[in-house]
Amino acid sequence: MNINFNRNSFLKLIVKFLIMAFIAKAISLGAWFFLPKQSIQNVSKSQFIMPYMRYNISDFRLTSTKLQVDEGASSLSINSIILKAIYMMGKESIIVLAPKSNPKKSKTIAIGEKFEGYKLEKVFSDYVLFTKNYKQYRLYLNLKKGAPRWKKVDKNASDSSEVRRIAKAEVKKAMANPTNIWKNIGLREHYTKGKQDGFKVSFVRKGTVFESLGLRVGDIIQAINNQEIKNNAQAFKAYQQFKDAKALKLNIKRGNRDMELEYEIY
Amino acid sequence: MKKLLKPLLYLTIMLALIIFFSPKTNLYYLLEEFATEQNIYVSDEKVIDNGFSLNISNAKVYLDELFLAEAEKTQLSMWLVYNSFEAKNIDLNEGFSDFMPSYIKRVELKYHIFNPRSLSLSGESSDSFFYGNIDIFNRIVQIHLRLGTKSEKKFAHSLKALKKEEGGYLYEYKF
Repeated sequence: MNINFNRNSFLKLIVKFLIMAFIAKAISLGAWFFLPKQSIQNVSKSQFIMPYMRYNISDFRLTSTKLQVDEGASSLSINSIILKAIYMMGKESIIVLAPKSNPKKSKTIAIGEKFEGYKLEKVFSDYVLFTKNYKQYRLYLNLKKGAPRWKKVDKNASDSSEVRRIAKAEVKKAMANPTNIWKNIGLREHYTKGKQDGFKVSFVRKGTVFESLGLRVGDIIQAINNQEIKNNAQAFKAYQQFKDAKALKLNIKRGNRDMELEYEIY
Repeated sequence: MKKLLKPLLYLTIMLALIIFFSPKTNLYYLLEEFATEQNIYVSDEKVIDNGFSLNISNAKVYLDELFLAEAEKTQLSMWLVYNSFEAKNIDLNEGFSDFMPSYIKRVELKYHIFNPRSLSLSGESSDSFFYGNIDIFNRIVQIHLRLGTKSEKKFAHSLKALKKEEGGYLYEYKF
């Protein structure tokens, strides 16, 4: 009789346990319904980052003036076509053309390509050479009368438009020992309305590459080569890419002014 | 007393069953979602539900797209009133080796209901250790570093950015 009683109690306990397990599982299922079902994986937004390259078209134009011109070519311009722009990049040079009747209808062509039957043969600093029916034609750049060809840089007004040149060796030397960087420049996280918007320069050691960069105490570095640096990860990434950079652009805030500092690393 | 013990026993069993059946893997995915709000991503990990804990192996941690570290073994224990996270054998991004140790033996994060405002953390590398807390309400991270002579010498310049305190350094970060 006593054994039966224990057996009944045991069975009751089992039943109670099963009911509790059922309730726990039901709660778990309820929670599961509202919880995310998949893990988040880090998918790179962009597997390929375009290297920052700075092309100075003015420089290309300067170097191209030594090219030989076929003097026997017709010096007549093609009246129905306007040459709107020249981008000199050696054999990959491109030009922008438009019919005079509809100047907004621009077309870009490369060397060897045709426009209105005219084949682009050579590109020079301020004109291009076409061939059509075994004849050569020069088409001059459509510059407005009196328009300046060269942009005059007023160094006193702003150093943002100035392109500085820095020796690769100087950069390499600075990057060789990263711990030395902090001897030469002080950077502090900078916050605006509680959100980090860059890194503030707290000191710059004289005679270092950082002084050559033109950075001043109080400058807030906001982007490097068009990549925002709003946290340490972005800054570190920019630092890693800077090692192999051929050009550099810093977006900084100096006082109330947003500035761009550009550099060529030669 | 017997009358009080019985419901307590039932409550304990019930809680244990809830923990056992709780969708820990999905809760982990929820934690991952919270982490992404801070641009922290955990990828390529293997997650195994062990009933009362969650084992995660070979988890790669990224900040934005920057690889930070890979943890060989990670254990997440959720006991409702006490939760802990422990990661072992962590290899940090080699690029950081000039600023911090490239290998960390162990990192532990603990949270218990009696101190709901903060998470405590601790860890150790080859010759150094650290401890601190994360104030969830004020969004402040405070880490006290106690470094061995070798590390202190190697990372002297990085340490300049930290506050010096008795016996070591203090790192503070607002998020």
